[in-house]
Amino acid sequence: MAKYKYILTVIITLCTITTFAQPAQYTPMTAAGYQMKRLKVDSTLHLPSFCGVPTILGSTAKEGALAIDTCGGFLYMWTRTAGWDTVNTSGGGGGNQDLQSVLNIGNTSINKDISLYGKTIANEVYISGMDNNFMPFMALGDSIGGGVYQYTYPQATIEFINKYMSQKLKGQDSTRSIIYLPVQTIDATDTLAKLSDVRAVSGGGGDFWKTSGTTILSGADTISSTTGILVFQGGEEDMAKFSVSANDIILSPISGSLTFPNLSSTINDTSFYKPLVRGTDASIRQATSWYGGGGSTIDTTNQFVKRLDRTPGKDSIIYFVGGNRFAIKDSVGTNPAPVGYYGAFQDTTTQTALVINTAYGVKLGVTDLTNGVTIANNSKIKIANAGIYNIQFSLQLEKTGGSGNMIADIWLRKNGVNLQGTTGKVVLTGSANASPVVAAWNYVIAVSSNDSLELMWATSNDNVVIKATPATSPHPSIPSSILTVTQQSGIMAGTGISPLDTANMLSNYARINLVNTKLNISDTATMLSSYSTRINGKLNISDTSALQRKSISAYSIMANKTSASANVTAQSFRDTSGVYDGTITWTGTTAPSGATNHTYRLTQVGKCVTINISLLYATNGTAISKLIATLPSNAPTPVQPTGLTSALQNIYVANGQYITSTNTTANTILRTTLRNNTSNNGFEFLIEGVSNTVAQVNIICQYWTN
Amino acid sequence: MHIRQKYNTTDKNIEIAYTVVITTDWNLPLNQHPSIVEHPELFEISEDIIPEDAQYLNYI
Repeated sequence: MAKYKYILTVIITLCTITTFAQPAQYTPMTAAGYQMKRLKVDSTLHLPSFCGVPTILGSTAKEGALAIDTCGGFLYMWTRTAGWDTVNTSGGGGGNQDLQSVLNIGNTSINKDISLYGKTIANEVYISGMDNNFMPFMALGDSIGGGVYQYTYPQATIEFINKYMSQKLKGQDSTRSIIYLPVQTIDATDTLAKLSDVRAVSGGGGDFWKTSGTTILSGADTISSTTGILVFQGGEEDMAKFSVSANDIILSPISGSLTFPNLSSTINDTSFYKPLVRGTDASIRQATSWYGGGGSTIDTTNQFVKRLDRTPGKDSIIYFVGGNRFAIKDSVGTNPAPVGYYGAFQDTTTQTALVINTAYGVKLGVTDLTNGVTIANNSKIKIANAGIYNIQFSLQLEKTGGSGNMIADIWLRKNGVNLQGTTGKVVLTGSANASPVVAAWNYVIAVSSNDSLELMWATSNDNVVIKATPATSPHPSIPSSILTVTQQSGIMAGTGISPLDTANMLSNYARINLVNTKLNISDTATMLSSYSTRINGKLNISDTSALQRKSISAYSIMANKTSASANVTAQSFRDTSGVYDGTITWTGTTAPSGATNHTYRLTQVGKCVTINISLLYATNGTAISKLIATLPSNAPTPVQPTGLTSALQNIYVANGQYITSTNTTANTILRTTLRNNTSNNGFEFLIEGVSNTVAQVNIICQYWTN
Repeated sequence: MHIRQKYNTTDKNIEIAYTVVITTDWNLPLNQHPSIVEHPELFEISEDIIPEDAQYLNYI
């Protein structure tokens, strides 16, 4: 290498001399070659020139040689081992300075162990900072904002630096399987690396998740685990770049869905559950409280049902809220158990009366069934809930000795007070062995909640006992007393049977019985099905279909218009009135005038119509000789008698009356008639007479219609 | 245009008889009709619309 440097120096020197010398003339030396010990050239040394790679001439096979490629601008040297090769002015061909020494130039940090290996594959440059196992670090300066080359040793750190601040990827471990992203606040104006720029190592790894704390991906796009829930922030394009290689979470920017395909079907979590809600910072997190529709907080401790069960074979749904167990019994299914309050009690001891004619409570020491009904003080029946209850009892009464009739009285006491009308008297006769008798009856009684009932007994002879007997084959034991309590309304709930409405039932029964009596119905077994028949029979109605009992046609009346007995048929019937709306034409000097009150009233029975028209005025008309008033529009159309169908023919007689405004009846003869009108397409009343003063007209007419 | 009997009240809340003089066969001007000529104090010529419930008068 030193030789080449020497030659290069000489050449450069000669070239410099040549450059600045004056043009010269050279004397040719024509021999094939010359050899000399030393050659000193004062002015210019010319070298053989070629266009391209030089060629060997003469005996230079064993000697070195120089030549110039004037076309390519290269200086070539000849060695026996390498042949012609360029003398590279970029340094590739000279010196013995290694890369470390070059890197050390201007760098106060000297570390001779730095090695740099690089290769280019598919436009990606892979740089390894390791040439052995002792220097696992690498530092890079970015190209933005004039960043500088830095590193931190001995931490395994990748540091990005811009003109304002640095971003470090710290804590890279020896296996380089985890990259921890920087967490410090960044300058929004800087260009930063994003999560989408992070690439997993080919073949595995790339797990950048932290198990605690917060990992900032870039900018506002963050994943936080501070509350145990991942918080995703950022634009859609940022989320679209997010994925987990394990395929545990899939974010779809198209459908907007978040799916967990590898989520186990079973979640073992002993804590209570809370729904995920959107936080005020747009994150998804656990709800910390439950809010009702009105905004008020309710039961923040046990606000969620944490488990639902259904016991096979049972007709109920069981759920848990906190540590409490609840059950819902549905109404779907068969054999619903009756609900209501009840109690069943007995006593297995023989009960005696220490003093005759003294009240003792019947003992009920054994509880067989209980639901809202309990025994207190061995004999008092405590009923917790108000209602109607049936009290049924039986007492095994016996004589233990003595002769003659002995009496036991049994009655009911409520809240310590004897209930009137509840006593029953039982007489025991015969010898002791022949005396056993069971006294049994029931009471139906209304009680209030927490009322106390007590079955009392007294006897006229202390030989009377309520006897309990052990089991003797073939019968089981005989309790001294048995008493059952059943709630009357509740016991039937759920069974589809409604309690009897005794009050209305009695009333209804009385009515039915009255009807039966009136109809002389004694056959109650068939009376329900034969009511209609019997009623029709009593009324002598054979054709019940024609009997309209509730609704008949308008303007009709049911009647028999024939001369013989027959079913009624619909006949016309009308009784109406209103404002007269016909046309009035007077003949005279002046018509009655002023305020008017024109009315009509008509009644139609069958085909006969009676109509009255009253025309009242405030002021007299004068010299009235004729009035024509058409039939009101609401009046039935008159039937024209045979031969009276022409215009102006009088068809029915009418009566008319003129009255003055001073209520004076005109003392004149008026001819009044109902006639066909001039056009013979309607009907009108005509009142005609001598000249009169008129303020009121009354017309009455009876005619027939079809 | 028709001849009507003059109103004798102005109370509009009361149903007032509106009487029209029949002039069907009268071919001369209405102002020559006997009702106007003989009793102009009782009749007048009107261009109002004849109400539906008007009554009519054959003036004699």
